[in-house]
Amino acid sequence: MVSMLSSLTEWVLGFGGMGSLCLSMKSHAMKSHARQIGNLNYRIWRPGQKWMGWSLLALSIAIVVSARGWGPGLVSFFGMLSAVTLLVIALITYRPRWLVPASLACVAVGPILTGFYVLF
Amino acid sequence: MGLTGSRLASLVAAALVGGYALATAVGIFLGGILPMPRGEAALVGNLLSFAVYAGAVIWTFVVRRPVKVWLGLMIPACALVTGGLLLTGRAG
Amino acid sequence: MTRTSMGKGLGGSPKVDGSLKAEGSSKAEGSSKAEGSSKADGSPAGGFRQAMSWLHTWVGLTLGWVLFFIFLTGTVGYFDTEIDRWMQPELPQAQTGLNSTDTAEVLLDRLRVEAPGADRWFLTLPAGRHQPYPGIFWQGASTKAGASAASGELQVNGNTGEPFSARDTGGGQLLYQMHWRLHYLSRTQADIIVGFATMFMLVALITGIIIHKKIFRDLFTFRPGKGQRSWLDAHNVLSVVALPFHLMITYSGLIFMGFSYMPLIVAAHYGVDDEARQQFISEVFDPPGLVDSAREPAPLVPLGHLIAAAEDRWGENRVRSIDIRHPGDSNARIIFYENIERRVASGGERLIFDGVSGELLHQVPPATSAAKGARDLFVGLHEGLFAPPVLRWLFFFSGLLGSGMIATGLVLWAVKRRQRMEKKHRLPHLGLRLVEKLNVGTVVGLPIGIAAYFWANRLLPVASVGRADWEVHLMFLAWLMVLIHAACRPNHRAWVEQLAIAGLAFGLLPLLNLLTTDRGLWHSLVANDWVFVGFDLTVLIVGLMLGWTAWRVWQKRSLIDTGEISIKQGRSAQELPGGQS
Repeated sequence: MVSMLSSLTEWVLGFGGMGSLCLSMKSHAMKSHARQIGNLNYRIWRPGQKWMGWSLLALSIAIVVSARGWGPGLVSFFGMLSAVTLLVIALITYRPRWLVPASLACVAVGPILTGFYVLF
Repeated sequence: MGLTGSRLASLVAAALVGGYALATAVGIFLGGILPMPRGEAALVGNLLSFAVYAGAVIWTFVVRRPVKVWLGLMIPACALVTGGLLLTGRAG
Repeated sequence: MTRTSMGKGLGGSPKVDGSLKAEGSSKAEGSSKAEGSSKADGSPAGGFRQAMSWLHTWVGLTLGWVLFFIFLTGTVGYFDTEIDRWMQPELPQAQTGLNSTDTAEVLLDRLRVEAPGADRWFLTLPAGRHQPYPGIFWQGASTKAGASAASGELQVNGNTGEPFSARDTGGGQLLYQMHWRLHYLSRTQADIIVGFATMFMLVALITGIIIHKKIFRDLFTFRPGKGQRSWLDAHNVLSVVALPFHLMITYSGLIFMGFSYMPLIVAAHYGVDDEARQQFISEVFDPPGLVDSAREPAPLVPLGHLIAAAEDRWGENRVRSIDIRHPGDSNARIIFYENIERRVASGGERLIFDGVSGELLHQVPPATSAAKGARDLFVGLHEGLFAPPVLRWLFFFSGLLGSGMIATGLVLWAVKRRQRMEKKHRLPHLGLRLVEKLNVGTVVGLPIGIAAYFWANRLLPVASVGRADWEVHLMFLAWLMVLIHAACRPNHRAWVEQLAIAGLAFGLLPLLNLLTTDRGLWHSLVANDWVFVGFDLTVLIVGLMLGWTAWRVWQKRSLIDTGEISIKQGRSAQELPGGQS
């Protein structure tokens, strides 16, 4: 069960991370929702999303490596990354408006799952 | 890129044959000089030779001058093979 | 330096989407210039990138079809054992979980019957996904003493000790072997072709990385419905999304076959004959403590307490196989192999016992040296034998992305040139038409061939002579027919018709399975037979996706044929599928 939880956490964090990185780019952010992001807000939005994205990915690596060890962990991480990146691309291309809620949900849920994983 | 006829053929041959020769030569050289049992040294040479091959192919098509490419691949290849075998005393 | 050359190449294409125009493709720009004129040596940076672009384009085109074959058959090979089992429906569900000691005893009895006097007995225990049934393998047996053959292998029912009898087939193993053996060719021919193809795959990846300037910025960019640009986007996305996999699989493929591809390195230090080569292999790979036969008979130690010792160390049912050298000789040695599911690098720990006294002689760690460790890591990554189900699917999926990368690259070459021809109101030249036909005939034709292989497995009479060979012949005959079909039909019609055929060929496989065996989908579900369920559902989904792609291509002929038309229609076709793969 721990392995189920660790995999779920890995994937949620991975999707949240790649989603945030995608949304840190202006053209994608514009497309996805936020025509309300003006130039001023974008100056804050961009680094915020970038930091969020990289942090979640780092956390995802930490989880998967602690759960599976370095070798299988990193292999699993890169495989997961391919899959979630493709998912992010599919969303931003065909359902751009879904990406923000999906990504934010993962950003919110990811750390909670991480907490569960650390505790149990 | 204006690569046609004999010039193109020469470059392709240099990339295939010359690159292979250089990759093998680097492998032999590493197998000769690395400070580990010869089997392992030869294995390391084998593992790295493919990176050398890829590099040689790319270099060939960056330079794009057949004479320079052939010399640039074959002279180091001969030197490395000779060096690698001499240093381990297996030349003859 | 990246900014200076930006934008020029976009002059020809209408700026459909204003907000995205700055991210126009650098690659299209680079290569179209590169092929255009011989004055490529303008600025040093541009010249370099053009050279790389030229190399990428032509390496990709000349080897693309072979590489597609290697990638796709190799990808299918991640499920080799599962396909094996689907292709031998006579066999029961996996026999994993049998008691190791009893199974070893059963196998040993079978070896005494099949292979007396053998030089080597090899016992495979049903340790997991890649070894679902017990099996034996032997070398150097004496037919005079009653051996069925000097060397051979059998799958054995662990409960009864009788060899399994199932239909003759190459199974998933053969499909997987094709990706480096190319089936009809000799080993040497295949090594040369696959070796160079893989080498140039590496070159194509490196040059691709060099010419694709903004790997991260363009990572999420896919613009469907814009002809050539969409194909380029798809090619980039499929390449970059799984780039670590593509690099890993290519380099590890080279290393896997490294001694065959670069034989002179070892030969220079050991000598050129077979004996010298064997010397190298045994120095680097063989466990220590192996000795030649003493030619003095001595009884083989019972395996029971050796197995107990190994399981104490590794855990229950974690003995993968038992390798007995010189059984019945006073110099007998028994090597126990640990199961391999716990680490990436291929090969687990080995225990070497004296085959007469049963004394533990050596404990050999998985990697006896750093160099061997590095090689084992690459080999292990390539094979993915360690991968549990989810990870195995990710390997498979990454392999599909690689196949898709090659396919989109090939299509991109053709679409780009056709677009240029049509702009100049010229007819496509012979080379372009040939590429277009080979593209459809390979990208869709090979999957049709693979489906034909599965159909042949179910439709050829079980008892017919040479049926295993004919399964493969039918696969390649089907592919040949598809290529002929591609040659006869207009490009767009060929894509639609072949995609539809492929969709039917895969989608109907579960039905075929239901009609020709008693292990249909429903039965498998009820019996918790996840290998059969997995196969049936996978081919069904593959079939549906191919069919859906056929339908979309039929609706939008612009997707394949002309970039021009598709750009005009771009606005109304926002949700076109781009990278069919």
